[in-house]
Amino acid sequence: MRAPIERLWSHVFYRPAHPLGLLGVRTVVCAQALWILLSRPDLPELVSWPAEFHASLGPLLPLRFGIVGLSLAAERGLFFALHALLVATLLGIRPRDTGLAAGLLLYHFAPFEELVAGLPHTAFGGLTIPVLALLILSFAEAPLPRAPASAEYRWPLALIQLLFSFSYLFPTLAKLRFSGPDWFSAENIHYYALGNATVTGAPLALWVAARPLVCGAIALGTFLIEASAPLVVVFPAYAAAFVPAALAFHFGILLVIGYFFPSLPLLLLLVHWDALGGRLARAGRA
Amino acid sequence: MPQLLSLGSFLLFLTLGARVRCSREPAARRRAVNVLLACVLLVCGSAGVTQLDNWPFTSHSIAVGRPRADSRICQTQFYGLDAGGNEWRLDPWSWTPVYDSILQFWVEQNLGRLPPAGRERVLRFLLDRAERSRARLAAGRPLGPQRLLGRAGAPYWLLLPRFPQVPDASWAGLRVYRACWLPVERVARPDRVLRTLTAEVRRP
Repeated sequence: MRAPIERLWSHVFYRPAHPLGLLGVRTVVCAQALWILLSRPDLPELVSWPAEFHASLGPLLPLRFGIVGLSLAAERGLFFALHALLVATLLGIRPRDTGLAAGLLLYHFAPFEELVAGLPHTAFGGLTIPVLALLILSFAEAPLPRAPASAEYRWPLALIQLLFSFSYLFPTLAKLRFSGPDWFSAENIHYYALGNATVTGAPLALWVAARPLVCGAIALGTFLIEASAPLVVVFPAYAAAFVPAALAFHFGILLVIGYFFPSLPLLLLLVHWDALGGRLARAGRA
Repeated sequence: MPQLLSLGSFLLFLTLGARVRCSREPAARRRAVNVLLACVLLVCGSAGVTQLDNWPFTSHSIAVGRPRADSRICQTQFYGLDAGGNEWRLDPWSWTPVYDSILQFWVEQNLGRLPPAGRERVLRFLLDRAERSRARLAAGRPLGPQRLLGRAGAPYWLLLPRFPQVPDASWAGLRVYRACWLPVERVARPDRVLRTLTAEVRRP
């Protein structure tokens, strides 16, 4: 039993990878973080909200994220610094150092949006993977564009891809735990669509709710996409099929229940970077 | 205690990462990487299996329940009052950087527990925020994710309907309602909503 696991571990984390993978991942997570932050330009203002909004949190939750009573001006300064660090990391300026600092500041600011409610859905804010990815990339060797393929470029890439795949797998585990296998039934999708028609007004909610076969197909598709997501780190060909399926999945969710997936651009993490790198290298030689 | 454990797991992640960063000798480096990988997978896996959130090692819990035909939906709704006493539903980005659904959650959990003075302070603060957002909208300037990026701004994950229409004059007050309905009834008749006034504040 141990040998197959070791082989799988070695295949996933240590088979040689083209440096383009880490360069690509670095670009994608920095651009994603900047997109979310520029869409939430007044995040630091939360520290100026009346104390009543923070009273129920207790002292430890804010402390965990380094929210220690800094002034609004100081938080704004840090927020601006975070943008500058992300741009520097994106441009490859001392990327391990700037990425480390950006990752730590992002860890500080990402919970702001939902802090007053105790972070119920911070995982879906679009900054979870960028926080972890920036830190993981800062631990790893910085990729050199013309370097040969190396295991040093694989493990950080595979770990970040695997963490991203958990954002699909874990919701299925949650559904199974709290609702059981019947969550993945046509009836359940029918009631989700019906309920959200009255909350979000999603354009296809009522159309889907009226069609049991479509509801059943959505239930099955949800299970297949979510439960199989970790296979993307094992089989690059599966990742190539997963990305368009996941795109369709998210647009379907948007139209049927009105939930947007802010991490949608992170599907680019699953690009077959080795194949792309090899192709670019061949084109460069030709 | 859970907060300390969460902080501890994040600090452990940083420590093990620093060990990888400092390792040069290949065998030692491989060991350090393996320990980091195992630790991250264990901590993330624990969150996924136990569904105890430990952000950024998160459980990704969302839409896990099973609604039924008789499942009632309840929502806290915010309305601005114009000088004539007319109610205007407020845009979900009126409280930016806090989104409407997050404020709903906070109001449902906390507003009723506050002493009168604290409650008054909170409601007056919200009225001021709503007024600031009204002024922006009235001037044709966008709110929330559209402020800097326009239509390219990233929305919040829950796409609540937008309410960009506002009066030209300042809000005279703010009303907070608890609204409940049965989806199957409301789809047939949109006015089948039971609204209860939770709180109200008016400008002096």
